[in-house]
Amino acid sequence: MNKVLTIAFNTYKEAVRNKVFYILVVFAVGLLMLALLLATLSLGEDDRIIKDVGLSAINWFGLLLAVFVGVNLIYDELDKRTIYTIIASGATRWQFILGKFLGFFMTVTAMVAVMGFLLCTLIAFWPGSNITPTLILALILFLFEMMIVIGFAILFSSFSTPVLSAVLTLMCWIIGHLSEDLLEWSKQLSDKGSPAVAALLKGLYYIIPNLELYNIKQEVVYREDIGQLGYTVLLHPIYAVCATAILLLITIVTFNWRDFK
Amino acid sequence: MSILRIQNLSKDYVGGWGRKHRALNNLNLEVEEGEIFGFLGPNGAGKTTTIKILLRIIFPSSGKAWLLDKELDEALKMHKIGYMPENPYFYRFLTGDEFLKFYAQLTGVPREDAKKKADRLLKVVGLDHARRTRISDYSKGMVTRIGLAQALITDPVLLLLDEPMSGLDPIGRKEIRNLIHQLKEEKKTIFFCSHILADIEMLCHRIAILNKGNLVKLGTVKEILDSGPTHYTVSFDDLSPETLAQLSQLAAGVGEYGGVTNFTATDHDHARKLVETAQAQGARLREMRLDRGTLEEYFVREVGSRE
Ligand SMILES: Nc1ncnc2c1ncn2[C@@H]1O[C@H](COP(=O)(O)OP(=O)(O)O)[C@@H](O)[C@H]1O
Ligand SMILES: [Mg+2]
Repeated sequence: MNKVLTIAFNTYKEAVRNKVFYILVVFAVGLLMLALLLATLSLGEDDRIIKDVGLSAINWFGLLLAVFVGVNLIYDELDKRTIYTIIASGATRWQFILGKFLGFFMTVTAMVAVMGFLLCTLIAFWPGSNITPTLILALILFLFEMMIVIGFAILFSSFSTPVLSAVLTLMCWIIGHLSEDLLEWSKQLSDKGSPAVAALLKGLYYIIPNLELYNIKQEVVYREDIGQLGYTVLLHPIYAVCATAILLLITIVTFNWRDFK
Repeated sequence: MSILRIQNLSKDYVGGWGRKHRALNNLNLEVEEGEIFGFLGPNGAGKTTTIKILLRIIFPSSGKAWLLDKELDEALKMHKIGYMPENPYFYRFLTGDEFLKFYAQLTGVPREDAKKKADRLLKVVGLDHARRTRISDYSKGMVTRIGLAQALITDPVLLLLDEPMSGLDPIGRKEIRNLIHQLKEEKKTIFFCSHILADIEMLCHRIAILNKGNLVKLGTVKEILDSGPTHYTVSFDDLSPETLAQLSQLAAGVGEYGGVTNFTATDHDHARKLVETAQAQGARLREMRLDRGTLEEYFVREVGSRE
């Protein structure tokens, strides 16, 4: 476990010393400012706008970071052969993968925390707007969504190029958000007599985790009480951990047999 | 105890279209504790492949290997093996100091020791001044030296060095050579890959020559050079034209460089005959020596003839 943590902290250090990280943070802050601007322009709607645009900004930049930095995590280590000395120093391959994952998840968490803090500060000082438990929950749930996305990014990048991995990861993210529609379409299609496509959609529905579960922006924006979400919301993080564990397990199994070029 | 043992080791790389390429063919090798072992071969001979198999970076197609008398996985976990990769490329975002501490932590060196060790090694490899500089700003020679420090952080008993001197200028090479000499004094076992023969000749006890995945030769440097063809060279200053003509008739070859005439003799008796003939005519002997050829000549001959 010591090795896993050493690799994790090193990965975190690498990410926060990466310029891309700062560019993303700067852009996200810019978007929060935009939210502010829009809020001042719209009468009476400012609370909704700040929360909507603010959360969206955090979501988008979290996703960009997770996908575009995430797909390079393993690839760079293989490409630049920095993994050689890690393996030679007695770290096993599963320790390496787990360390990279944890380190990067820490990075994304840090970024979401920084932006979330900014958003909350803004809201706290905004007249007529206040921080709700639902808002905090939305940020936390988002982290679990990112956990799954990082799992996909790591899985794909362990056997393909960063560009292809990014495309595949984004596809999974889109499908993950369309999950419920997928089931609906599948039903319609099988009624219309194309069972093959219907089966494919249904397969995707079962394979790719439902990421819409982690999106409670509507509830935040329309100031719903946290109680109205129901207790099932507490199960979603567990679901995310399980899904990510499976993704990492697949990565480790394929990684274990591989020659590093 | 042999600290490194390789038995019938082969590696096939699978290329495009499933074509197989044999990079290492049935290698057998043993290295004893305290040896400086030179693993020689032209580019593409399979040296790096061998080291990567030993470190579990790749897996062999057949055969087996042991380090420290243990199975490879087990041996690596003991943190007694130092490794310096070929053309090393390390985490560029770390400073020299952080880099060494990272490896110390990774190999389970306690935190207080890690700092002391990193400090000491930075001095040993002469990078004390660059400890707070990021590796991305290091020169090639500095990267090699920090790589060596990294390999030494666990106080290894066995060091696997893959072309530690390639790409360095003569001064850089000399520095690394001195470091290796120092390690030799500390009785560390060193498995040293190179295609630069002068380095190997100066440092190694025993060498193996590998070509296209096959072991071509194994032995001490002396054994290997003695096994090749030898000849004598007899040199004279200022020969009279008659003597020159007569000796040229007798010798196997003749050449003149800067007023010195060199004759080649095939063996000792032949050489003596040349000397006696010349001295009978009053010529002055300058030098008579046994030429064994250099390792380089041997290498070119052995490896070249197997094309
Ligand atoms: N990852 C790889 N995939 C395919 N072929 C490889 C790979 N690595 C090395 N080779 C081939 O194996 C042979 C031995 O390479 P290598 O062990 O790197 O040689 P050396 O270190 O002695 O220069 C070469 O012909 C090389 O082209
Ligand atoms: Mg090599």
